[in-house]
Amino acid sequence: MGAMQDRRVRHPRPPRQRVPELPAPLLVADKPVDPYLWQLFQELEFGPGFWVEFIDGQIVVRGRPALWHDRAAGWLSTQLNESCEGRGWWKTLTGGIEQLPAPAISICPDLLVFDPEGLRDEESDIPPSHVRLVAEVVSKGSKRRDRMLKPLTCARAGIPLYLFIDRYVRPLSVSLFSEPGSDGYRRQEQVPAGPGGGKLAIPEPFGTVLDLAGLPLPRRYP
Amino acid sequence: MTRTLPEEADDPRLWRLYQELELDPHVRAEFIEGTILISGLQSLWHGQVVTWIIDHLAVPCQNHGWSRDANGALQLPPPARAIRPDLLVYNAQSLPHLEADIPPSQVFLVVEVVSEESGEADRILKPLSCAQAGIPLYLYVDPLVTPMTVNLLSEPEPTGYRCRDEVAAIAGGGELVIPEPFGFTLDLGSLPAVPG
Repeated sequence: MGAMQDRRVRHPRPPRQRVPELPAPLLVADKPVDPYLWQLFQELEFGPGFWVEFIDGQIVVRGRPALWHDRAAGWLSTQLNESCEGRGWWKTLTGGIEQLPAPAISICPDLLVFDPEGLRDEESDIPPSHVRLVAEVVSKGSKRRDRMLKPLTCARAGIPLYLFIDRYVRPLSVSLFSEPGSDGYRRQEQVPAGPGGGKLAIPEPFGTVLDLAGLPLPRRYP
Repeated sequence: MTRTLPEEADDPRLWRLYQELELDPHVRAEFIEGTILISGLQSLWHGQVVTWIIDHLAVPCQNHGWSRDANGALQLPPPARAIRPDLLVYNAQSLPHLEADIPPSQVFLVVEVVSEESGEADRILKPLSCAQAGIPLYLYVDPLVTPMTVNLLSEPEPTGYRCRDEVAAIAGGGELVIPEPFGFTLDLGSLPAVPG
């Protein structure tokens, strides 16, 4: 411990100032969000083709989805064309919603239907109050998030409908959650998809019926 | 007999991104099931438990000349291709300096304290990857069950650990035998109790 030691330069940690205010509620299962992680989330730039979400106190980064995943989302999008055109709603496969209640504070759903009325074309944020439907295609790393956490958040945000296509249940099924409340969606319906699949009524404000027999299955579906 | 659906492949760009990520040391990035997961600070209780285990491993590690690391990173076979365990015990003597990742072949024990957001990863996915990599022991503390349990997985095989010892950690009771190459017994009675 001589003079040499004392002269060693210490690199301080990046300053923690500028911590932004967190959206309420702050708690994720009684666990406060790490403000440094939240700040990091807002500063991370990964470029196109990466989806960054903040769920359950973690930053979640995903890459390009598998081909079937995209195909399923595309199929669903097509099925909703008529409802959307009739009501003047828009769809996006690349949009995001921020400032949501916990646990999924910031999400990038696979498909998002929203009312563009009052939004500027030049903006990219979609306020939760404009969202009519959030849809996800469950992938291997997102089962808990897509089935449990995002629906809880979307229900708390008052988003009328949450739908997910799930290839990790037998038979492959589509679930529709409706009647949002602060502890989740009160109505939950699960209908098998693919050949022999059922019909799923999407209630108002959509008022349409999806014929799930037409949902393309993964080609090597056993 | 039911056949399973082919697994979705990982996006190779995401894996490259993971390897190039440079984050502050207290932030943990892992690559599990084709997803990068970045976690921040854990609860104080979580840290207390890790410290408790570090302390109890002091003697066996000194005897063998092994290292304990609460910050080490491992690269493994899928599904948990890159993990930052709460604690790992490994043999540093044969390793070059400044190695970023610890080779799984030098690791004797991986320890995780389960938290809600990582329950499936800590209980199922990471053990599967550690077993495939041939890591002899995997220990996890599970505060999400009542009473809290400590689980020791041993005898790794390509399909997972063959053996699982589960011991309840209750005040004044519970002993968990950590087999060779450690060869000692953990008295779980003094494990910090789950708050609330």
